[in-house]
Amino acid sequence: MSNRDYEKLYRAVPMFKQLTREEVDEIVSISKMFKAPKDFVLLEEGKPGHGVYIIVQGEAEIRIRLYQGDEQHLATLGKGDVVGEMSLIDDAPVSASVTTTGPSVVLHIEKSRFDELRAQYRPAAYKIMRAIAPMLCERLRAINERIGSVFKEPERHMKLMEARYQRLATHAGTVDAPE
Amino acid sequence: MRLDPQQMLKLVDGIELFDGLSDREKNTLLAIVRAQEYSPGEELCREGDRGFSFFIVCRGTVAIYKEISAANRECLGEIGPGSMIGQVSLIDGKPRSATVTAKSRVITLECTRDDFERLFNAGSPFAFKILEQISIHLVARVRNANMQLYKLYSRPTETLMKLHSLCMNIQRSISDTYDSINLSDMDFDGGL
Repeated sequence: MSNRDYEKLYRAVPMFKQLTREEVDEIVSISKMFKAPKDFVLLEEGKPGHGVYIIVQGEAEIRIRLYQGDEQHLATLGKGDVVGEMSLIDDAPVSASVTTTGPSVVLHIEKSRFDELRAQYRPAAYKIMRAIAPMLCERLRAINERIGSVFKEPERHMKLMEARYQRLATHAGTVDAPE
Repeated sequence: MRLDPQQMLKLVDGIELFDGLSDREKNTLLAIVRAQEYSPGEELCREGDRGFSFFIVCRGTVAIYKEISAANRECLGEIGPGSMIGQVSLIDGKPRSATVTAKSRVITLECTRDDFERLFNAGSPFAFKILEQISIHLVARVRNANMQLYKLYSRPTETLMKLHSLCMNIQRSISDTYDSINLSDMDFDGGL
């Protein structure tokens, strides 16, 4: 990788902050950088994960399926954002779909190759893991706060939920969703 | 609690986090971490505290509580030997998210954030293994929280029933307070 490419990548990817130049090279050597067109599916909910995708350029969005074909947009991602990071840690299926919303450049760190580095106790792999950990904490706190807020104000949320389900029921003809 | 190297080695025998480490690595580590003993009922850490260390439970069982109000706490579970406590604070430096109390006689090993940092930067496999365990644990928690949130919205009847019973509890505690105020007022009047 040329110095210019390295500088560009290093600046675009906050996850590399704690890594030395050699360590970034090591990670890049187990990764694939590719151009993705608009509407390119990076991750598909329910499918096995194959590693982490870093948006180097462009934008993508995260969506989850709700019941009865309903979909919920969760977040829009931009330069430097990371998805699929949980697949580097465990083998559970992908929890949300991620699709590009415009032409993008993506760096894919492959899980199998990452696991090799991990098994050799390579600091580069663990520095990546260390960058992932605070993201997980943040997400955990955000989700828990959202759940907590529902139960802290039961009366208000009961009304909100009733209204939401009434609306859905009129569309679907049933109040409770099948499993 | 002071333990000699031999006792320390015995303490971590069978604890997964120390598996696969050479005796030399173990000894370096055990010179850094601190053994601590707790009696039943004693607190290891309290929700809201700024914690700069994490614990590995080596003997005994601890209970984890979430403080709901001054007099109300919910037990989130009990954990035993091999489990870690305080690992989230270790990563994000935020206050403790739960209170942990000893259920029996408990022995822990405590490692400070600074020590962890030093070990990590020195490339210690132990620090890497700790980070690995923390990450696995965090991912499991995120997936579990995601599932709970999903259930909240995808099982409307269940959610509404839970909210309903919460409303009933609030109403009950309000009327209990009201009743007890009235009663004590009456006792006071009667005494006059």
